[in-house]
Amino acid sequence: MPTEELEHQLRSAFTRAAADFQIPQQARQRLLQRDYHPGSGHRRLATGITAAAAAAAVVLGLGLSGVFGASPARGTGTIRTAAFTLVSNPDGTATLTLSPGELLDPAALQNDLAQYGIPAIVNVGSFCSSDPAPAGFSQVVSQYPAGEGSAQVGSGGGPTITIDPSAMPAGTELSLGYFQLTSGEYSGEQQADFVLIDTSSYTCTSTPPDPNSLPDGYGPDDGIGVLYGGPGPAGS
Amino acid sequence: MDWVGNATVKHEFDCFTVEVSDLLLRTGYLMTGDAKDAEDLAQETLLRVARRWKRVRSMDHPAAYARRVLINLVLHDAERRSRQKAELQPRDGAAETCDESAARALREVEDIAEFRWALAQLPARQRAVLVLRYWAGLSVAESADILGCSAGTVTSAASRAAARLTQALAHSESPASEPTTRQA
Repeated sequence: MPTEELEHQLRSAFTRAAADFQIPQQARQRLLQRDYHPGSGHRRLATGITAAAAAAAVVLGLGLSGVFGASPARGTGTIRTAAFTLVSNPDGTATLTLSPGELLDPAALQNDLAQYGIPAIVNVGSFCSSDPAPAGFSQVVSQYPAGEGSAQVGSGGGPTITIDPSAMPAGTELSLGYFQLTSGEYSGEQQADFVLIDTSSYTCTSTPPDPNSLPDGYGPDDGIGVLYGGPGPAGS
Repeated sequence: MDWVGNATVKHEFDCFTVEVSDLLLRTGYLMTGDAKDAEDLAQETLLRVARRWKRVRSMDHPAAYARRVLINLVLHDAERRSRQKAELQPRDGAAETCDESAARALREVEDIAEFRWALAQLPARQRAVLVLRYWAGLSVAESADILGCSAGTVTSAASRAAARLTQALAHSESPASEPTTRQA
């Protein structure tokens, strides 16, 4: 069995490799325009825009909506778990919402981000950062509610961020550190910190970053720190 | 079984196609290192899933089934060409490489093209093990189920694949010059 460190490096490398593959739009279109229905002939190119392409038009945001609104947990373009919801947007970005009071499964979120082409390192109880910080965070991540640098979210909802993988500089990954705070001023709340890291040089710490600032090497626009929720999982 | 006359079922399949297209293309690309091959694989996968759609649509995870079909297409193709034989057997003479040095080699990869090139040097089944375990995030048991082998075989194959990957990375003198297909 490979060691945990080796497995981590393999996951990281695969995430980067998958994210590096920019799917040609023509390939996606060809794929969606094929007629796959039984009896329609093997590998026959559809003569017109098929229903699949029409459905793609919906997903690609060509003015229609509502088709996937009632999707179940893993519906079309939406991954919904108790702890987070990840939505693939028509413009290639993905929107992540963390749910208050739910314990995050870091491997699941990291894997789901990778499926959407977002290389990320997700940790529970630790946080990875680089010094100096890679540039470009503000082009990669936008936040709701909007905030500058660290922000505190009311206890009613979790943070929502939108990630643009195409804006991520080469050699970087998104680092998400998630903490269930058990002491101090914010005890009982959850903290999530987002920064970009240089995949060839970063360190991880089990100490939550100061909620009101970012790690050394990071300017005010180089990351997001969010406090949210009330009592965490199991009322801790 | 022809379901094309059923508008609801047909719509479900069309939506499924949209949902899984990127997943299949990326998986195909990781398995082959070639964008055109990835597209062909994704199309063939969807054709096969369509034939069984009435059954597949009731599965808990139709996308996982489609990924399984794609992986098996790659493996069957590799077997058909007889390019690799008994790839999960410890006969390849790959020098034992400790996990620590393998992790270090991966950590030091600066250009991810090096990793893709090294991955392409592995036999298809070893590549599949790594893709299923470390990109798809499947457990050893789930990977073994897809590959039709034991959990122990998956574990040992993963270690051997990591060792070969490390060796390939060590010998990747000019991976940047590899032919890469970025356009369909």
